[in-house]
Amino acid sequence: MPDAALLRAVTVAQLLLLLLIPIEMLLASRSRIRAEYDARDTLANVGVSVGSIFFWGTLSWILLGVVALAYQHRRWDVPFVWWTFLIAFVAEDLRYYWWHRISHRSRWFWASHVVHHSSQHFNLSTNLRQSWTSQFSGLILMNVPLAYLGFSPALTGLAFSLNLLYQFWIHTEAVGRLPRWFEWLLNTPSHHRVHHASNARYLDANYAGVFMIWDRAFGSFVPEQDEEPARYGLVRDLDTFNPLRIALHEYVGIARDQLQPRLSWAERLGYLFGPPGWRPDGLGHTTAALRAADSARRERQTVERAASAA
Amino acid sequence: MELAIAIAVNVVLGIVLLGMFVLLRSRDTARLASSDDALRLFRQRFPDAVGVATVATDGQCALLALKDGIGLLHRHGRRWNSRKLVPGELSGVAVTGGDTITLALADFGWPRAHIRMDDPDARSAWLARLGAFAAASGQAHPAVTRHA
Repeated sequence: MPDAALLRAVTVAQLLLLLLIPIEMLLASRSRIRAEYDARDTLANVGVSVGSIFFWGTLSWILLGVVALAYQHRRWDVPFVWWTFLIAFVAEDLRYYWWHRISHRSRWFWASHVVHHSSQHFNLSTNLRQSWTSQFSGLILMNVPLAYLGFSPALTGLAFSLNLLYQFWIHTEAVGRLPRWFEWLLNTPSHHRVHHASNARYLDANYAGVFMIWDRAFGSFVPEQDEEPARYGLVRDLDTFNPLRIALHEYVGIARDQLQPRLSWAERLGYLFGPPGWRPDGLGHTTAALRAADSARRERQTVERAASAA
Repeated sequence: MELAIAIAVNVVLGIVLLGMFVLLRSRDTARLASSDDALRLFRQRFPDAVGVATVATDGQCALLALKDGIGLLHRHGRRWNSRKLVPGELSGVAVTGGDTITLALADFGWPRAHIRMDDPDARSAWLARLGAFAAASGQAHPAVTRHA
């Protein structure tokens, strides 16, 4: 299989997909589709994108080096043929699921990934808002197993590129629900709206890249509810369009937490690797705490409604 | 070939984005109409909030005297950002330009807030309240982690 030509074709396809952004923007401005763009937000997305491309370009040798090293010590030689590509694609999607899940559940990794979730809008330009620090968060080590098993960097690289290519179109409000079989099997705009929402009931859900089956299998699937529209962005609002602040704000938060005096090592580790929102006193706004508070409020409302009806 | 396509796509994208920026920028005219309006928007983030809002003169911001603290509402692009101030978060309060309360927040993602208040009585009352809040917070450490 001409892997280099395939990789180039995917790269070109990714670039061409970018043209869908102004098309969505134009249709949104004429109220032809359901989508909302904010000039400064979109410009911030572009600014963050410039930084992320720069850091990817200058630091991608770290990822490539790790993968090449693992591949040098591979157990088997997996050929680059259609059926090994299918296996690589599914395996790569599983890797993506766990990478994504860890990126949300542990603050150190979240500090890198939070960038992608920081926009309060959800449109195709949200794709541009990507991390600056993915090369040194440590999660690139998750690429080692497939390389060690013998899947070549070209094979996994192609699978990952196609995975990202697929994820481009799901960042939109313009597409409603798709046929049930499709929604069951694959990641869709509906599932991904939930993933980008900051509503308590939608937090930490729908990590899938392509196949929704991972979320269903590992208990992180949450369907979109018509009665609860997604509120995009972060639990605690970010009040800036400055790409530097968007890219680094969580690291500054970590540093501030670490600089507190009289912290034990357990507390320092908790602030660093615990779930986002974790605090030593147990009063932090973690997803579990926010969900509990939200459930309690809903129950209270139900009781109040019943009482007023009676 | 790929490089040519990449450059072409980025040039077209850049031009279109700039055009759309100009087009979209002129449409943002939302302002807070009243105290109730501010409270309604604040409740979208904090549904249980009870209190009274003081809307800034420019309608772009509001301070809320809540039953359980102080709230801040601020226009951010096409959205409204809400914040319940937590102990240790308010690192400074000052009056700038004669009529604007400027808050310094210990948060890299929301470092400052400017609330213009022409009414001197409301301004004084808020300065006293914010000053008391900052003093009472002492050395408390704010929790500013965000997640989604």
